[in-house]
Amino acid sequence: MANVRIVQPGAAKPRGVWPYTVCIVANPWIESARNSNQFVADPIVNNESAFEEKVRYILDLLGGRLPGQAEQMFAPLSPLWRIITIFDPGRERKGRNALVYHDNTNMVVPRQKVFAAFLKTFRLPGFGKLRADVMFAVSASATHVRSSALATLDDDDVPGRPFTVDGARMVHRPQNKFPGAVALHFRAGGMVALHEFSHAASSWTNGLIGDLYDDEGEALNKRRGRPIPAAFCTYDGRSFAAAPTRGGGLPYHPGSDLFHCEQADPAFPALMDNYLEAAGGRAERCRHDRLTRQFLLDRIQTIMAR
Amino acid sequence: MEPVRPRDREKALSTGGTEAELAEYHRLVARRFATNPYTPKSPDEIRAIEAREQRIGDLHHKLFSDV
Repeated sequence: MANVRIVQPGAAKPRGVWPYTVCIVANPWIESARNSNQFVADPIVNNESAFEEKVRYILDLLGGRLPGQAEQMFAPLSPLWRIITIFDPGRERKGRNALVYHDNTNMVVPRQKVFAAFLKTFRLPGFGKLRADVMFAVSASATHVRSSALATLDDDDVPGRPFTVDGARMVHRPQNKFPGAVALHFRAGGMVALHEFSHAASSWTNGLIGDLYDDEGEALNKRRGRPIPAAFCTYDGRSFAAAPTRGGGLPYHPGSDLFHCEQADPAFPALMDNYLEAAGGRAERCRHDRLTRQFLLDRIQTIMAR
Repeated sequence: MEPVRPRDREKALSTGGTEAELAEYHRLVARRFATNPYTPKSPDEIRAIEAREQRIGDLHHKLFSDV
């Protein structure tokens, strides 16, 4: 029997318009390897209390309520979001009900293409078919324990709020084709859910927020060059400074030409960097760099205003 | 993605892995998550992705199978 719960309804909107929506789902099935079409039961559907505990953790972290948590940028916004949870142990063993796959390392990875269709199979009185801007699939895989996320695929046919980054034009889009997708292992704690949410809330086509601890990959929050310049970028007409170090005394990797935007608190690495390396193990003190913070606030507020 | 824990990294290095292999592993996994999966890919790009995934798996097995 499916347990679909409206944790909070979110901001009032005209009929048919949804506020910014986060769905948290107990993943029913795991594809045992990418594109294998083999599915194993996800143990999370045998443990509703563990799922509910993880829901509380996610919402506390997004709301800035973990003990000592410094990054509270979503605290004023999140009470206006619609939050829905789904626990349904009765889903068929089908690909459409597998929200996560095991990769060839130890990660659970979202099967992003099936997320929106999965949600549409649920209909609530007064709400209609479910949808989301970001969706968490919580897994209790016994073998794959690292969490991961994929950015939102925007609907680029829908008008939005234009902006530029160093002259390049992009648009904060209020609608998506595929919601941002997080595969979250139920052992995840600390800053994991907020880090992964921040990937998922960004966009494949209108600004990707990437991992700062890896030198590889292009993203809005990563730049390259030596010597490190004073300026990181100009976003939406505002100048953002570059960070001379990774924060908290961490140097950039030897031989790397990567540099980051100025940290909100230079005493700690940024939240998209390796928060596990924060001084004293105090990952909860890590905050987003200034560009990531402004970009995500603008993007999410554009979606909230639809 | 969730970073590798420092103790797992240290263990990988203490059991025969090299800094160069770790760096390659991180670079390839980062490329996976920074590549828009919805952009049309040429056959060469698809082959490169499959080769990358194979290499990620091999490196993970070598570096982290004892972790």
